[in-house]
Amino acid sequence: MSHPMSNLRELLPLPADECWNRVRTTPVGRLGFCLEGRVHVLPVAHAVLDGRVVFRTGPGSKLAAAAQLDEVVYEVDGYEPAKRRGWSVAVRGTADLVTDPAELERLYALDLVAWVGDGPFHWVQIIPTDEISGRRIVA
Amino acid sequence: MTIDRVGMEVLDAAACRELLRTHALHVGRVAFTGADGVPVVLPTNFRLDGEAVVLRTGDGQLLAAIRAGGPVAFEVDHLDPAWKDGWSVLVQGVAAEITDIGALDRVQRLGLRPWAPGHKSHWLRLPTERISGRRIM
Repeated sequence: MSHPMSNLRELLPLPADECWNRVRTTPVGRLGFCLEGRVHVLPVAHAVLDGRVVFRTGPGSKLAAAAQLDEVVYEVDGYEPAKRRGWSVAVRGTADLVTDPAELERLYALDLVAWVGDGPFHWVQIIPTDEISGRRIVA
Repeated sequence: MTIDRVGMEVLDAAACRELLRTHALHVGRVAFTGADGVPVVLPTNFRLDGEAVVLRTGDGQLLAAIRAGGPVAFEVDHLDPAWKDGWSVLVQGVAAEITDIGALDRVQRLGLRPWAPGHKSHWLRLPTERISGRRIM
């Protein structure tokens, strides 16, 4: 018999399809990456297209630099503070700039809100290299 | 006011620390490099001890990364889904486990209670010497 306190809260894995559902229906996530010896975590507004996470960023930004990295993680989460519950989903993958014109046309059609002002921007895609994973706190 | 290259307001260190102070009931995210070299991002609650971010953790991969002296980041944001309003703050550096009895006594009174199950017996301190933030204009 474990300590009674440990029975109150549980951390449960989320199935892959449920993870993707949560990424699709949550507008904002955070890109985590290592660059120049530092770890970066930056919020972006994303969409999901063909099993990839896509977002926009301005040229020269840290996020544009991240678009050349082989190993990034995209994290999406949500909370119920009053109940001290939450969930988190992570997509591990490779980040890449989208340059194919046909692909870009499909991305523009997404009409994705972006934090990039009125200037020029790039489309970045995260191509998963691992199965999506997620967990939720059950209380 | 400084504007960055994508049109966001650059927040100075004092403004960033003030956002952390006034949003210490928010959930933030701690990030580090995992054993396989791949970045890991985990949600966590936090408090401020003076100007440092205080986190609690168990005997997992975060503790291992910190004991190895690896770089760590901590991020908090508040973003309107329509992106009409929002800010984000990022702290980067090297975190240390709090072992000093006096410091432990102090941080244990910050009211930091982990949501996740498990024994989070380690208290971590991340200085905010390197802190940056942006606000949507």
